[in-house]
Amino acid sequence: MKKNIISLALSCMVLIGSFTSCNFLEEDLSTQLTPDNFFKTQEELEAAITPIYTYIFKNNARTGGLVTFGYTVNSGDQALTSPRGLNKQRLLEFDNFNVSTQNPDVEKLWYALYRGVSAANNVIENIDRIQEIPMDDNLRKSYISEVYFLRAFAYYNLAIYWKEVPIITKNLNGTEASNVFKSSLEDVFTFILSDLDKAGDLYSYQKDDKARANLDAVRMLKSYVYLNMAGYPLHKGVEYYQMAADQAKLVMEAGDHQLEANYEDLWRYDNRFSKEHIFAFYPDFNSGRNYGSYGNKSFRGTEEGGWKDLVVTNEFYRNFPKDNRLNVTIYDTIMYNNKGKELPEENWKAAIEAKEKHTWIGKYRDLGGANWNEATSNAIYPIFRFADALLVFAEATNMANGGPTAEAYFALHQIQNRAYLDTPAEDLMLAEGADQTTFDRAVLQERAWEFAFENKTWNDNVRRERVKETNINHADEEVGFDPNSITPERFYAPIPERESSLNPNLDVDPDPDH
Amino acid sequence: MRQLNSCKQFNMLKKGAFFLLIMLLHGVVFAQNTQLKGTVYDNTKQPLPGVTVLLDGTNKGTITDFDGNFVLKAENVQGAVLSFSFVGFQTEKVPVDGKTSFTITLNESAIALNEVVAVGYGVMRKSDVTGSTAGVKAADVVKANTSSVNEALQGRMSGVAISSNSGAPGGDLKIRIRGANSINGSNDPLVVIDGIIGGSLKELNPNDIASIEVLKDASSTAIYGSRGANGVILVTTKAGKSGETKVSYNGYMGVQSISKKMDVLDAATYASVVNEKRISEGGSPKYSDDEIDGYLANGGTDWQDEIYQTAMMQSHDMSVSGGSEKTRFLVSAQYLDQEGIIKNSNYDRLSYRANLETELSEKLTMTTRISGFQSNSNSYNLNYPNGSISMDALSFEPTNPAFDENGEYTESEFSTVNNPIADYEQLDALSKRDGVDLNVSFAYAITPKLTFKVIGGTSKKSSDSYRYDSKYTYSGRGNNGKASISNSWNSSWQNTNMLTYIDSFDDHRLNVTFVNEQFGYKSRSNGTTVTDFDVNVGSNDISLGANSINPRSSVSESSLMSFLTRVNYSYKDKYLVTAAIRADGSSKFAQNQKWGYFPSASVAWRVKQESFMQDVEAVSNWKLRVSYGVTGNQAISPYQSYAVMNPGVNYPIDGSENSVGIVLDRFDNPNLTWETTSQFNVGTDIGFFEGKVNFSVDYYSKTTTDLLLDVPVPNYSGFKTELRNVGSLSNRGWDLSIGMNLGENDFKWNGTLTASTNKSNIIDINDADNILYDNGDMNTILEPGSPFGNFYGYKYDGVWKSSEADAAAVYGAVPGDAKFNDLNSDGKINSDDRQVIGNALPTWQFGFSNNFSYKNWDMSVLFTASIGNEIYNGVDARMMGVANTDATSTDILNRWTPDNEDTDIPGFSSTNAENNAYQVESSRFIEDGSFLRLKNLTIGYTFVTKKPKALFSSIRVYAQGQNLFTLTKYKGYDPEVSNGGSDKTPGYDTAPFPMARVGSLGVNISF
Repeated sequence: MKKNIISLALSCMVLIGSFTSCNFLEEDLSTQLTPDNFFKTQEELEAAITPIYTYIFKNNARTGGLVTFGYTVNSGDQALTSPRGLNKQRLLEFDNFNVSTQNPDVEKLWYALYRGVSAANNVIENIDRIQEIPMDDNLRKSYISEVYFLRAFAYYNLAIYWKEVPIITKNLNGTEASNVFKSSLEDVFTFILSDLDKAGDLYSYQKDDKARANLDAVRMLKSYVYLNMAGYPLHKGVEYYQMAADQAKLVMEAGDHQLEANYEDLWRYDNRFSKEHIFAFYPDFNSGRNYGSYGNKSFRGTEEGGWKDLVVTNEFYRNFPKDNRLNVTIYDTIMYNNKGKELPEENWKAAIEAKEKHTWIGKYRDLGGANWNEATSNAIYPIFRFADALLVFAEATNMANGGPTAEAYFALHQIQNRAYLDTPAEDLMLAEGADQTTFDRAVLQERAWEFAFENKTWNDNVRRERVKETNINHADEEVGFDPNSITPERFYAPIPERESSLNPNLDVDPDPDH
Repeated sequence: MRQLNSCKQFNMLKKGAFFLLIMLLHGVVFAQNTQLKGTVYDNTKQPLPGVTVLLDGTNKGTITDFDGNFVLKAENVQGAVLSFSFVGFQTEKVPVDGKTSFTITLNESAIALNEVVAVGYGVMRKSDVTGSTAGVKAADVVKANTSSVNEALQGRMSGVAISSNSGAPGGDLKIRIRGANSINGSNDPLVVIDGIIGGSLKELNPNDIASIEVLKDASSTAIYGSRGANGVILVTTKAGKSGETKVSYNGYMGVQSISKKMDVLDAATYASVVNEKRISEGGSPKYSDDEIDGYLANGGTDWQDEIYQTAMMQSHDMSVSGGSEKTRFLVSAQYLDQEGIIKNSNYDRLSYRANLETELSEKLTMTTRISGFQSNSNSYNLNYPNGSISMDALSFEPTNPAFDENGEYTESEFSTVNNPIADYEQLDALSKRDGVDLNVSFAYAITPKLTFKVIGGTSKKSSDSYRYDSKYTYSGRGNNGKASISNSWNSSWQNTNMLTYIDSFDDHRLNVTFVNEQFGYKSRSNGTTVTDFDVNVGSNDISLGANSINPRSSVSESSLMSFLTRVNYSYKDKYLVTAAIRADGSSKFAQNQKWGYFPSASVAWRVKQESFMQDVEAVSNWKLRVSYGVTGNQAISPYQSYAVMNPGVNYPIDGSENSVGIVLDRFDNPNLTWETTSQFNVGTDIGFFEGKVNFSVDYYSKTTTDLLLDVPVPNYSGFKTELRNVGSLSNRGWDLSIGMNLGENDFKWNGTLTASTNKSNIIDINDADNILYDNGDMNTILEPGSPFGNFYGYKYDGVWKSSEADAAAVYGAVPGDAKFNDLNSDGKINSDDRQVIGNALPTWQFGFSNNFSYKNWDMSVLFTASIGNEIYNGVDARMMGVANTDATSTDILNRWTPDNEDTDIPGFSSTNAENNAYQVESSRFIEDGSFLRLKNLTIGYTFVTKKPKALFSSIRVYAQGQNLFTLTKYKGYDPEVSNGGSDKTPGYDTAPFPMARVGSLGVNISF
């Protein structure tokens, strides 16, 4: 009897123990979201595309992505600077054309753009499963095109700010990632163009999705790639200017977008879906500060409770035409207290009396209902406007044809009419009969005014080798600055030290021809 | 799906097998030889566990269980004599004489050495213990009158550091046993209550506790395998006793108040200081002379008085216990109700328990324990820097009235400071917790030497929090009111099957334990946040909010299966050996790493038993112990070895409202495994003068390897880090304790002095030079070769004197400005000049507890002390006006001026204002946090009735004070509560809920 009991008890233990062979210790993944059970529905495909936008735009953080660090990498242009004597080294390095490999913003923008690439690769890698999703074929094509466009857009930013970067086409684990090399600028641009060709099926399939990329955005990006290939440093010349002009003309003729009549209206939150915007990032501050755009506190002065990260160079403000754009572009008088309450007019303060002694960025001051105390707001982040098409067309046509055509003049004048008519600056309109150089200078100058603080001018300066020329008076901001220190190697941000220390292959220069 | 089904089947099978086992054990009753049983008590009628019961002249015997009960089966008991022996007690010999049931009382021997102690999966005579453990008397826990059990353990055991992160009622405490072993994993010890793993001390009724043992070295914790690395706290709850039913009541009422107020400027002085600052920095004065005259005449607002209150607390506890010969029970309940010293904060808790023990047959005993709790708290656990009420009260302008002329809350000039009254009036943060534990065990004596025990337990907990931040609060402000509701439920089950064999023959004693154990855990949570309330009833109806954001829910499951063997062997009671090995299979571990093995061994030598020590009378006990073992820490969360997609990466595709975004969050990681801590321990216990003085010292050395660290990967891969088992660190230290039992007859004193020191050392963090944690204002750095807790920032060198004007000019500074150490002497202060500027961890921690009694009077006194720890005083940085506010501290009056050169406080200047960020991040605000505190003082008097028909048998009344005084140089509210933070970033004072001083009156009645 005793033995029976012992054996019974022991066999019970063994019985329980024998369940090890079953999957008692396996995890039930059906309760979790894993890659193996994803990409089965149209909604899942849509949900996988959304993060590409988020990462490039904000990196899913309160301050992150292009909407924040796009300003940093452009603070070397003639319009932007940052106050001295504060802890804003990360911005001043760009402002003074001497960026260290440890600059935190360089690393953060790099990360955001590559995270966007990674999110795009996540879709592209699963293309076979996506083909099996039961859904409208045209819509599927459009979504896939959209992913290629967004990947191209991320690489375009990498190319213009860093020049030579690794081309990553699939998600890599740490070990795989350390075997990667940089590609030459030409290879990166070629890769971008091939992605853009695959994006040819992109159309505004869902007209309600205002923030989604569309075919005009693909054309605009192509035209900018051609402009860059035509200029410094690849110097592909006339042929590429012509291709840039052709793409811009497609946008002008498509009829989906048009110029806003009043420049000021472009910057009103309630008009953020203006037909002039071809592609822009739309924040959603209401669902969390991580989804707001930059430039709420960062652009305001101390007296208005701001962080004054970026202010307007005094020279740019001085030279800015007294035109229809000035008031909305530059904010030059403090009218609010640090809580956002409007001050009585007798307490208003001109910029020169304010702590920063600089004027402030004006374009993004309509917060779209966001809180004055926050770093972020609902202000739009414009990328391509119809004005881009006009000015790219004007510039590229002039360069491709050895001088301005009537069409080029017409395009430029559309911008100039809106800016200057009925203002003291009317005489800034370019008169007929300009030669190629005069016309070119006028277009580039117009781009600087028109697109001030829209993060295009730095690339204009680089691709046209005008960085030194446009910053010849930089000593006004940085005492003792020598413009001769602006050499071409200063045109690009360095590969972040974090990356090259994790992968020394990144120090290897690619073959420039490939 | 197939996997799912098979797992369900398995679970059903498993449960089936469990019940089958119980039925079998239950149903079988045997033909017996003579069955001797009984209970052994000490002379205070407390049951004595661990007493050796032997049939004299044979090797038949057993030891008593935790409630003093024994069962011994024997043949031919005619004329036999039972011998009851226990260390520290006189051996009792009782003839069997035809009896089968015995009630034995053992008298303490002169050398009251020690009692039996709980060890993992069993009990053991303390003299047999070969590992390093520490115990607390249940009476001390009860007497402490703290709202939670873990707080009552403070200062009572060496090597056990307990700190509170918040003085809020119902606030959490942190227990660390011999330092922190993990960087990213949990460092909380494992709590085992009545054999059920993973309990919580916080909601336990202190009066239910029979004993608490803390297992410190690896030989005692390794039997908990992959969960044992951080030490183990074993709690045994009380059981009823056969005999007369006993009813007892304990209750107290207390008054709490803030123990210290900070010195802040009055409104008029504040205003003139602010003006002076503004003018010195090139601005215009903020206050007009008329306004200042007004503040002089009418005063301003003392914001500390506005938010702190004298708060009441009360606790009532009732227990009924007793039983028949075969069934014993204890039923108890405690209700605790505590207001906080910040207005509107409170905590209440009801804990209840029923412990039932039944002898189903001569051989089979069933023990059932049911316990549960419900708690509600409104604790204002707000986050620094925005929304800490204490911080707001210390930095809000004293010139502001509470309300403006329209009855609206006044606003600060500074966006990071909110009106403190709005803070507590406009935030409603209710957190409700419920829990029920059920624990059933069957112990079956197969033979007197072989016992089989099955434990089955389930535990369910739920936590619901409802919060509403109105538009007048910091986080509600931009949202027009914000409501959040979050709920979570978790349940765990455990089945332990244990076979224990105890034997002794000649000079050998043997105790062998086999254990098989299954454990499962499941949790669910959900929550939502809604904003934009034009009309509101708080979080009670969130449909009134216009904007729903962040709805969420999740499920998580894990399971563990274990096998364990342990052997204790002793020879002649002199040489003791314990060896154990546990195998843990965990669902959390990745495919390639499912099973882990955790061996341990220890030896002890009871030197006193040697013949050469017999003549040394001063030494009454002497034991040497050495142990080594390997334990683990499951620092990974479920599913972490698999690739997962992460939602919440949203974007407003339609240009106005967010669309859901889901992205690959990480790759699969099939090699992830537990962190491994191996520990060597050597120690000795020496008793002098018949046990009047006991001395215990342990040295330990722990090394943790396979630390889980987020290893950086190139960002262009799309990821920032990968989790890998790569790092290592060590902890070394000493635990000392001296116990004294003095006095005779009427006067008695027993005191325990504990001292501990621990030094951590980071060995390897994946070949990286350091890991820097930016904790807002100050940083903490982890570097190989350095300990945890190093503050990293600028070294503050006081202020530039007038005589140093030229040197100051190099740095763009003028006399009176802050001066920093220019580490690399490059003539600039920038991030390259940062260095280690302090350490947050104490070099020594002490506890000194004393119990005095004189006739019917009793008194207990507890001191705690900490030496060598430093604190980053983030509150002072705000109060001195260098962190985006104006100065409110009276210390600002001692700032540098040309007439006040001899000071460390910078004056006002525009150049100094520009380096505020460096000051905040400098050693200027690192302070010595050493302290000596009278933690608890209790004086009581007991009335005893001898009348047989009296309503009660004894009443004790007492008065008590907690946190009565503190000796410290630290300027903040409290050096102890401030020393919170995680193990990675300890020692940040970010204005948590301050600790209260408590005065209370209480009564213990036995009916």
